[in-house]
Amino acid sequence: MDELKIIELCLLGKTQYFSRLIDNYQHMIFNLAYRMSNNLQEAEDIAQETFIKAFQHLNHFNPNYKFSTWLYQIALNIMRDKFKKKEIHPYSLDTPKEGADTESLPPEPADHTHNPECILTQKEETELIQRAINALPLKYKEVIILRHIQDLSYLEIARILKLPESTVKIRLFRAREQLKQEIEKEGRGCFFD
Amino acid sequence: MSKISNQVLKIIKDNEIKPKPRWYFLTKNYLIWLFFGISIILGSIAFSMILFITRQLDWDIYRYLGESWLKTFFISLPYLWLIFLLIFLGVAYYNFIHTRKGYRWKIFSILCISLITSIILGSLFYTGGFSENLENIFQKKLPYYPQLIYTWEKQWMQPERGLLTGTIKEVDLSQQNKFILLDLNNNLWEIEATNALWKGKLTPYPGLKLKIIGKMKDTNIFEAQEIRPWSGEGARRGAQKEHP
Repeated sequence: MDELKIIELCLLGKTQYFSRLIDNYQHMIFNLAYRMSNNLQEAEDIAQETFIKAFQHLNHFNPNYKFSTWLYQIALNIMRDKFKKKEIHPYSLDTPKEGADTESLPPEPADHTHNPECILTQKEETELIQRAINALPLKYKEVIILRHIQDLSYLEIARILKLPESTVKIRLFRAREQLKQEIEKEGRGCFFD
Repeated sequence: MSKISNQVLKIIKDNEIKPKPRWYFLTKNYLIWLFFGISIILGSIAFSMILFITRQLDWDIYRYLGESWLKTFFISLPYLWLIFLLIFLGVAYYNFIHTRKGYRWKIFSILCISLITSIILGSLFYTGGFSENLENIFQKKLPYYPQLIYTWEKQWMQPERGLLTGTIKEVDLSQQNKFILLDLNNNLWEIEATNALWKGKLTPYPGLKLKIIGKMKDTNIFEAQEIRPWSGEGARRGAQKEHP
């Protein structure tokens, strides 16, 4: 069934149809929340809160945009609030590794160039990059995750973050620079060569 | 993961959560535009006040005071209204980016458009006499306002620094170059104008309003070096003050 039709039905009081929207997008939102918070329980809570908020604000959804864009906006706003209230704790490269959480991460980032001489192991790289991303300031973390992990276009990121596309490109450039520095701190600068 | 939808639906049901009505969002959107419009109008008023206050000052007298133009400039700026203008520009920007498509605009473009609109509207307010009326009201009714604004009166009522203004009360017919002046604080001054340069082909007569640059010789005795007629915004306001 078409998403707009589902939204219409939900607005008419048929709440059970909302589960179809949740099923379609829960992985996307959960993945974003997990990358941002680095905590499974936190990610689940954020995903839940995102869908409840989306349900309450269904009348505010603009059908000219993708439903996913709108959900990303809601989820990011919730996460920003949590970071502000320090309900999600900022992460540092000095933080001890949490094996259970990081071992299950998929390999990324999507577009980095692999230099065979520099690659140690896929697992180590993944852990290091995830830790470096977590150490970034929130605004850089958001663009890196949206671009390189969620694999979104500049236009989509611009719409989600409500920023001009040019600003997104600049922010992403700075985020990559800082990410590079964070990784270089650990002596792995060659990821970006 | 699959439990998320069950949990969400349960929370929605248990807490009887319903989608907020469409009018709620429409009203919110209209209010944002309304506040944007109000901020632009208030910014325009602030600009018209800046224009009015700066235009009633004489910007050339720094030469007679032995000060730099920059010092005079910074003393004379209407900071209160400049701060208001900046605040309203900020509020306008904040509201604009919260409109539906506001995020697409760059901060520089939004601030430039808001400022240009404030300048155009403010100039219209100034031309229409709105800023003058407002300044008169504020001067009379707002406590502490006169202390915060460097007005034309403040600029010219500094006899110890060689600036004096007021109305001629009496001309000494035996000594053409002496006259009695009633200043804006209702003090009488004996003006010696033997070596004074009269600007604007003036002939002294009782009732003539003057601005005098010179030197205070003694209590209530002032030696004039240059005498100017009242003109411009300040003069108009001064006249109103004297004959309300």
